[in-house]
Amino acid sequence: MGTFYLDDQAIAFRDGDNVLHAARQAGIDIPHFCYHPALGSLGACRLCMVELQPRQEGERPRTLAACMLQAQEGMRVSLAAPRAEAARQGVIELTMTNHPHDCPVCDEAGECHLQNMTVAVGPAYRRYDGTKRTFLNQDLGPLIWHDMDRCITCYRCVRFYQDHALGQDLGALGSRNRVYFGRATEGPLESPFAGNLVEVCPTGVFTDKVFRRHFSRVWDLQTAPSVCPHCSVGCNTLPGARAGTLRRVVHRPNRRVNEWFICDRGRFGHRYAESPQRPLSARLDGREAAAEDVMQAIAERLVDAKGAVAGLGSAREDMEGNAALRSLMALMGGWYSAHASPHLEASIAEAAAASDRATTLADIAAADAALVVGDLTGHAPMMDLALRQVVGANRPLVVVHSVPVPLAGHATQTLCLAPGELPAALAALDERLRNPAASGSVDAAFEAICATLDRAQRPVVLGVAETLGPPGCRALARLAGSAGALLAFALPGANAFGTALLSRPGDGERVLRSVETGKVDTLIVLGSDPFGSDPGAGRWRAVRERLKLLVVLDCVATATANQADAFIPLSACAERAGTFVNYAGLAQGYAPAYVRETPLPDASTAVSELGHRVGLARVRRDAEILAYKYCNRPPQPGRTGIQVEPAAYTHLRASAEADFKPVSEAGDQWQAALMTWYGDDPLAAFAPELSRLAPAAEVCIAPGQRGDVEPGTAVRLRGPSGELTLPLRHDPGCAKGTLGLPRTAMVALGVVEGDSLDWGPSS
Amino acid sequence: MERVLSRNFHLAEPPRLAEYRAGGGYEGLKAALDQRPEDMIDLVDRTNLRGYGGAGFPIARKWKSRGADAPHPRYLVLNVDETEPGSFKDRQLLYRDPHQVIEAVLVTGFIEQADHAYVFVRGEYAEGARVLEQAIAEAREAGLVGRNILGSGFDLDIDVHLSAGRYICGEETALLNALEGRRPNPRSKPPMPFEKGLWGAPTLVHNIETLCHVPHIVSRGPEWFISQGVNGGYGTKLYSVCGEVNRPGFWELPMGTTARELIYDHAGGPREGHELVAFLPGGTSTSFLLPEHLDTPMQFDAVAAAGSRFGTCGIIALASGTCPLRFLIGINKFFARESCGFCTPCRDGLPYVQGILERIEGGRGKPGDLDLLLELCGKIAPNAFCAFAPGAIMPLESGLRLFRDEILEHIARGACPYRGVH
Repeated sequence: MGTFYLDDQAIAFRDGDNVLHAARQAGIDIPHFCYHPALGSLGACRLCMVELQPRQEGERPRTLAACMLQAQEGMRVSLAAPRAEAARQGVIELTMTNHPHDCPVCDEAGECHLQNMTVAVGPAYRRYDGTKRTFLNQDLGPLIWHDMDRCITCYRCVRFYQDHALGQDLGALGSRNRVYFGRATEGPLESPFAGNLVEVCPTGVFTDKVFRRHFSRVWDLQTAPSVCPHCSVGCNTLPGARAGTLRRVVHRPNRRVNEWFICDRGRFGHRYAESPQRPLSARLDGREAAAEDVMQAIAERLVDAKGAVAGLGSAREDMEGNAALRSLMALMGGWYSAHASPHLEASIAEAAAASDRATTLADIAAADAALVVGDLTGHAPMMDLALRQVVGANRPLVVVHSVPVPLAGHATQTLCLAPGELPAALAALDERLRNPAASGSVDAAFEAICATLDRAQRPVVLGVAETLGPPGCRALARLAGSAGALLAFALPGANAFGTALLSRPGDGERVLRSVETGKVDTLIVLGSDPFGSDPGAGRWRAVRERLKLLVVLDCVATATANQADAFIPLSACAERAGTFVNYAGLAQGYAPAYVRETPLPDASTAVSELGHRVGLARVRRDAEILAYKYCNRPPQPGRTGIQVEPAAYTHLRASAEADFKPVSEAGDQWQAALMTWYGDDPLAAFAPELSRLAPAAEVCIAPGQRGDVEPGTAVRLRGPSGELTLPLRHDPGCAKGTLGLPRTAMVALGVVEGDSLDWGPSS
Repeated sequence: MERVLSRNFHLAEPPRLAEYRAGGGYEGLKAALDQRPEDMIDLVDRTNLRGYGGAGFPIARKWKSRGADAPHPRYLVLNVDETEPGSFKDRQLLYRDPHQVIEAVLVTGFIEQADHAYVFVRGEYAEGARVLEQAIAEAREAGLVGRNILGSGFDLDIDVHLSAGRYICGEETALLNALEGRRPNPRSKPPMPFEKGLWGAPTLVHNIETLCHVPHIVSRGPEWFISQGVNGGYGTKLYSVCGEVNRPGFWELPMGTTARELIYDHAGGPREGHELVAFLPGGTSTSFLLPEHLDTPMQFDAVAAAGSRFGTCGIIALASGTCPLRFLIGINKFFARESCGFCTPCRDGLPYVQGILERIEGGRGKPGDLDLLLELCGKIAPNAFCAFAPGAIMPLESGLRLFRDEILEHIARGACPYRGVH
């Protein structure tokens, strides 16, 4: 700690701070290009020149880059000194020699850091009369637009892409004033975080290609603080809309969650809201009808149903909507759950109960060792990005997986196990951690993992709840406790944690059984897809015919929505207010960024309206009490969120005590395991540009296990709900006896992780 | 004067191990292995041996800065990325006497107690790298390289790395990045390479000519070394002269030999019918000296006192009849092309300068161009990240001032006054 002086203003600094960073903390923005708060100092652009006053008489003042100048006690630095100002203007003039003067038509205009700096620093006019350097641009795939002529060579893109996100397919090529930032050959950028190039680039080299095709000047965008609906991390976002349509999403800093970045699922998944398939009209018995009339018809049929009704909410629907549905069911005497899959419901409850001091992304990035179970890239991409900082700092990362996962390529140690082996393996690790004397009782790989965790001062343990299943979640939580590690689970759905506060394990089973047994013939589905893509859809599809009335409220055209007897279209996340509780129990509110030309109701409004029409006017009030029960008041959009109270965990722990389905004894049988990718999410699946990057549907096994089938040939899989033919791929990232399957295949076959499957050559 | 570094240069082929040994080769290594490293550091310190790669930093001070207690592993890097225009002395050592280079690396490695040595060779010197690799293999076979060298218990292996070829790779921190397989941009200092160099370990980077003196100093003593020089210089120096002279070449001469002797006696003076106009004393990245400076002893302090830099001491002569602007354009074109592209002043400033220079030479100069050029010099050199741009600006800025009249004449005439003069 100390104080230095910037043009006579005292600035406090911490040891190791550079002058630029310390000044920023004090609210003074020294002009800069290549410095970035998340990427640090580089010293390349030379814009942040300041004058260092001599300590002793007789010495000359020196002009130095503030980002490379370490703050020292009593140091005197001047931003206003004529020499420093001339140096900065010299840099602007040189930077602009090659930059095109296309500001009026540039995609970046209005939020261009280069434009801001040029206006702020000067010179205002150009005297360079030479030619400008030009480049050929590359097609970088459906998400990012490339315009290299605008490049000012600040190296932010490669520092983000390579150093921060550990991507390998974008680099700095060539030298002198022809340094080229691109790929060796044209093609889609491979990183799940490539979209951040749009925000780290201080000018318009990398711009949002999707936004570009639905362009608006940024000053014409309507925005409001929002929260990403595409996974349980709950990154803070700023959607921008114009003329009643959503145009883009960018990050919004929240130190408790994501400070600087978002993943590509979050940035480009929003296109579900503008998908041509998005249902915008209400339907009754297969025909479009006025929402008012459909609402009334539903109400009348609900009254007729006389209590033989159940409600299925969703982990991707907000607290308000789920609470409204639960309140309505409570008043109508029907069961409610947010989960089509009882198994997944139990996993979420286990994971949430153990997340009472869940680690933040910043803590993950600062960990000195990490143990990961499952594919974080596919289930919580921003947790993966935080882990890449652990890798970048050369700290150990252990990845336990059943199918190929991107993080395994960065791990210092990997352990490849079949899904059914996970709980026992985690329990063995836990046993060895509790009892160091037992070393030797576990094999060398396990011993190495324990040694890594034992050595670490700040270890983190991360797991994917859907992959682990209830016993795996419980085992991993125990292990984290024994290792003294911070813990976090990637949960399935933006509000998965929140739904665990509204129901208990077993509720999902009750909803399903009430339909299976015929006690219930009317089902209200809010934002889930039990007859389509939801885990557990197999059992549901079998009972579809027993339903007399299927009411669906949703903002996307799921298989369930398409076969609804009555359908009410809902507003998309960026069009409404609501609350999500993230993986760490942080309740965050979001606000509507815009209103569609024909406004659509949010979930809680629609459900409350139904309640009103069946004479249950208190649904809305009950729902409000339920929704905010554990955070006292609705969290305000744009604030940093409210951590749920300890009572929430009391509820969760009591829920989690329920027994769960034991691990299936696969024996010699092949086990199914879910293969995800970073765009894999029920909403983002409707985003056309992002979906173009989805990997082909394949079934994946480790090489050398089945001599009778060649890779590339089609194989036939037989599960409890159906049969499927898929091409076979060999990948050493698969565990022995494990069949890696895409989500659609898992659902079609009716299996969850660890379930056994028959398969063979298709002929 | 005795030929020290070039004693085997008369041979048609580089000497093989036996031949090199027969001429007293590896005696310096034997002498070194019998001494204590700290004593040898003091010995070399007394000679004030300085780096001949351009910067002229005293080698003993480098050793002392790193200290005897630096953590292991420690690396020794020999910089043979000789890319400075006008400098072609290092290649002679590499091509003509590789065992001398190996002996120098071994002795220095022992003084530094280094764990591994890398020889970083300019891409265009691929043949020299091959010659050196052959010699290393020969020496390894004879127990001179590798484990337990000559039974001393000292281990040192040497790897030769051929550069992919860029001027900036000769900058020591860019060289380290290149060796690590990274983009060869210079690194920020501090930390200095002797603190955190190759892969973060203490690393000392040396010029090949400097290092070749070390075995001789160790075996024959500092007094002998000092006595080799003249006019305030110590030891011998591989001097070279090129440009518009009758006999461009290189010669091993006493350090401190005057520019007049080099240009006129050894290089045969300017081309027939022309006068010497100016010369760059130490490769392109130094300021011009004038005929009035011809009696300056070519050694570090005297050249600095005359207002330039000793650099690598590869003299480039400029004679009458050649357009000095074209000369500056040639130099600046090289630097604009070789800029690594890391920092703005260098990357974008040098091409800006180049455009103006070419415009003037092409007869499209404007009043005020000279002031604009000088203003750009003042903005590029002091604000750049590494020493490359200051080196590029030195000949340019001094040339702009020196040839002010000629440049103004270009602008006034709208044509090059030297056209058709040759």
